[in-house]
Amino acid sequence: MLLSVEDIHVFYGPVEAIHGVSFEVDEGELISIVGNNGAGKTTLLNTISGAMSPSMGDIKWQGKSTKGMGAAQLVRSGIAQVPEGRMVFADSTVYDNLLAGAYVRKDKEGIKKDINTYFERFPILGERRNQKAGLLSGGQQQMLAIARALMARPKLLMMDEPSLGLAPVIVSEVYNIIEQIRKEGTVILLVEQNATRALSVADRAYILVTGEITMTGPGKELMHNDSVRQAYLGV
Amino acid sequence: MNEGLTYFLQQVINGLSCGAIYSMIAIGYSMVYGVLGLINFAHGDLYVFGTFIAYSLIIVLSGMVNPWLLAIVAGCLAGCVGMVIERLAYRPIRKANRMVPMISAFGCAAVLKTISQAVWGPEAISFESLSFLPEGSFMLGNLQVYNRALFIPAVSLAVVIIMQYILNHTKFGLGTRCIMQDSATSNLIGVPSDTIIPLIYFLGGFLGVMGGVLYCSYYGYISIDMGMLGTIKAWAVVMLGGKGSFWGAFFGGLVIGVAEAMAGAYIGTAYRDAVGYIIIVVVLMFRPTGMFGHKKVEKV
Repeated sequence: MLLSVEDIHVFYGPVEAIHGVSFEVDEGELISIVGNNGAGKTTLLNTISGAMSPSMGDIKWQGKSTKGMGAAQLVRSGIAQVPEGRMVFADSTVYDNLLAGAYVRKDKEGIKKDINTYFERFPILGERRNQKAGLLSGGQQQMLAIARALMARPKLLMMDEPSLGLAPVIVSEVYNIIEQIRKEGTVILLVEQNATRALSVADRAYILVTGEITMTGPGKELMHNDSVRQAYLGV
Repeated sequence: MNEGLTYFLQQVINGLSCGAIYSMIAIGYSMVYGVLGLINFAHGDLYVFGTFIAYSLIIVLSGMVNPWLLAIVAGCLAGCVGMVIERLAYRPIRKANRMVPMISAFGCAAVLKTISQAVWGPEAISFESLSFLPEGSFMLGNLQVYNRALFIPAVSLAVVIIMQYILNHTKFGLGTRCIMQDSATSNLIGVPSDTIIPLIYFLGGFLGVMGGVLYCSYYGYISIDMGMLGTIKAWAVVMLGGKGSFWGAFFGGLVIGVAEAMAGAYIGTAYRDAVGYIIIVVVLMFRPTGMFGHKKVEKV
């Protein structure tokens, strides 16, 4: 098992935001966690990234507990995150944003090569490499945030609401990229409020309701589940 | 040249040296402010503490070692003290309300000042005989230009250029720029803030002592009261120049130095130190990001 989250409880300030969540992510998978605002999705991802720590329970990454590992160490060991709201470094150039994504790496030549690869893949980023990232459109910033995370060459890419605040046509583009990344062999853990999109691409999915997982199953199956349809798909 | 003009230019020259010293003290302060948004009230007492150490090293090793070398040693020590302060007094409360680290900073300032007072005493100590600054002067028309008036801005300018290079062309600089913009995201993408922030405190303390040595040499004495005054000056410089900007700190320092010299020359020396406070108020009212500051782009 690549990642197993074992019955974790997480406090967000004085409030327990996650009450005993367990789930697993295996090699080759694309897993979605679907939940409404405030369900604890971001808290969950930030706990896996090491930015927050569970008060109870354990997270195992490639079989080893991540207890005591800092966020940077976890990135080095292969977990990268595309944060909610993209959070590119607005005052830095597109190029420097990508360079920052490779902060944990030491192979200068490889880093340069990867940057060029992403400039070819996302030509708009290449064209605007010397512009400040804050000047990019929302969709372009999302591409940059994804490329920045991939610069760390992660085994597991966690994405926090990649469709947030984007026009539907851009969301489709982002999801095409997600499927492409997955085909190239990166495992993806996707957290979304946009259930339709997230369930349609997922091998397996979990439904998160106020800090607890209430349902799990293959993505397509959950899409046709009546209670999921009522609660998340507005049908 | 008529006398009035000569007097005016003389004041400008004095103001520029004085301002260049403020710049030096403010650069380190600006980095810490830029990274953590923390008004580091311990900065002044830290640089005074470090400058006292430089003083003692020079007295003990009288004449055997170049004073600038000893100042660098003292700067490194002060930098380490800065790192300890960060670890013990700031890091545990980094996520707390902004008021909390500010109070913690006041506490550190009080501790450093008390230690300085216990070791070196409450009286001002002469810094005259320590030869940090070049002696002599030359005449430029009717103007008497001291060599030190060229030396100090030159050192300050060199430091700004070096720091700017580090910020733009090294990995540490890249990490610093990321953390200045968004430390939570920096952590998530693998920029280790717990490694970089202590280094920023180290540089803050180190450059503070370099500025402190110039400051004390320029005025010819050192005293524990310089701490709070230094903090306020650095704060004014950073408010004017924009937090996190080295060129802002440089030009902000020069502007404040010249403004102070003008106030001293034409209003009265008692008004000199008021200039810093007035600048803080005016900048906060009309341009809160300073001359070189950026507005943080906040998009949700």
